[in-house]
Amino acid sequence: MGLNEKPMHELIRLLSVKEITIREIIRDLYRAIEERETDVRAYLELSDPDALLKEAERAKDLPLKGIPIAVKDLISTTGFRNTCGSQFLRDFRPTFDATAILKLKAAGATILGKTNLDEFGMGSSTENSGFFPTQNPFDLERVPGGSSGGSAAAVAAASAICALGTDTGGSIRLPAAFCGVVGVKPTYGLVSRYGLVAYASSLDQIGPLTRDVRDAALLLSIVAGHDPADSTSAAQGNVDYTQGLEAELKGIRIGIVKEFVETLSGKASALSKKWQEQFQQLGARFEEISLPHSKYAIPTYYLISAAEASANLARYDGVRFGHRESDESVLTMYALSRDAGFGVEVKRRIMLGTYGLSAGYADEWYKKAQGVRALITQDFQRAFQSVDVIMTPTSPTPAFKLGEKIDDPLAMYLTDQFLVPASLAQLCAISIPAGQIDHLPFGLQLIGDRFQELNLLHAAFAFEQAWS
Amino acid sequence: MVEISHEEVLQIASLARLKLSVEEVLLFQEQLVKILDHFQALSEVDTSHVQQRDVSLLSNNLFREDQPRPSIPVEEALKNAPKHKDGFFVVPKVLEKG
Repeated sequence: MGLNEKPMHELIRLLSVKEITIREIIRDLYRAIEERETDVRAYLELSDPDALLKEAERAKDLPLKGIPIAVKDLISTTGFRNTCGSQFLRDFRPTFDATAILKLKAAGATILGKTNLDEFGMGSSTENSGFFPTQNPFDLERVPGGSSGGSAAAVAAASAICALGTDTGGSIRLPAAFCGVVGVKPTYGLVSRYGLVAYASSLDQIGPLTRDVRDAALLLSIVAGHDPADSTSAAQGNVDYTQGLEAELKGIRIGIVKEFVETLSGKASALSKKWQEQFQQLGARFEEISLPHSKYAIPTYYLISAAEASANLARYDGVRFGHRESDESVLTMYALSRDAGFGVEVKRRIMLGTYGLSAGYADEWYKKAQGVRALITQDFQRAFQSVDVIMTPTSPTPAFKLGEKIDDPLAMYLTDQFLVPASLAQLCAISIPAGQIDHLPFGLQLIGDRFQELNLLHAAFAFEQAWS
Repeated sequence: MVEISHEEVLQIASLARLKLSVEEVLLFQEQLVKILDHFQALSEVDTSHVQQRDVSLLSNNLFREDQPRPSIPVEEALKNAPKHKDGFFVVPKVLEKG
């Protein structure tokens, strides 16, 4: 087994007892990249191995000991382009590090490379990358999920040890499930969004994609916490999320969502029953809960996120950075630069968001969606009075084939039906690998109340240790 | 059934500062209708009792002290600009000589 296949916490231990060197880790990583990257195509840009080794050796006395981390190409990282998966920004070089990157570097991490994504985070398959699609390492004919598909595929192919992704409506959890890795979407406000290129600002969060739950807890402990540069980041998160993972699970109350259970396929339902038995053996109690407004979550999510996107993406006008076409007049330059630089899904969402916000339609669409978002949030508040965490499959099916849904945006949007409710209510959630359907990885999602990451990770860790 | 005319698609595109191709206009007209038809399910939900304060999800903003700090140097800020001159971004002429 190569060192690139081990979790980060194990590598840190082996490095501290001097059983291995950082040079060997980097050698194994690049060997895997060489072998897998032409098929999987997880990366948009990679570090030079010699430069990376030098940097890693300088970090040897810090907690993460120079271990290289892959970063979704939506997070500002100096020394790399930040393309956001968009032709509009194909040559864009950021002038600063995102707060999450600064924190990782301060803890002794190095940056292995920038991973592929759906353009600006808009998509569920990584097929909307402005450069090329990423393939699922388990089956190259299938998508890795999206939008953090490059990060998930890199960890699954062992061409990264762990990675950062971003989740707006499932973009960490879905690719984690499709690629058989762990992915955490933190509570909104736990991790600073400074340096995360904005898609939908009331939903976006940075989070880890890792080989196991302990690594996710370790990375989360580093990137969480209030940041004066992001006024929406909460006064929370100075917590070591790896503490207490091994405690007994006895007495935890887990909710099963009535409305989701009714929609499950036979195979998903059978697997879900096994998960329940496993948790019961660990001492958990189950309770059926109702989230009556969750069936409206997809329209609510897509109206709100598209509206926010249409405002956030107004900055791409060809003046200060990015693609520029025509010097005829300012308005022509804006409109032609944007049409040429953006891909079709980004334009579709800008159109949807602009429509939903425009005079005469805003009450019927945007304001209505805001109202339903409040009701979805209240459903969760009620549920968390009787349960500690909620269990669902991460997605209705395992990874679908490349090209299967790309021409049907509505079918693609429905992939996220179990994911967007927690995003709208700004809760924390995790996807962990939990069995297979049709020989493909299938993910279990746990949803926790706001800032209850300790509970969430504790339950996920206990399940991970017991499940075989 | 949601109806969006060809002219409305062009009007939305103009608001969004997108110069769409003829094919894109036709594609988005068809797809927006299909998507919004599905999204019309929201009209079933009674949101009349939802208060504005229920909609504001953030508990409170955390403000920092309003103290001057160094900002990005001009040369750095211009590094990604498609066109710049003498420390300014260059854009097509906006005003004609009167």
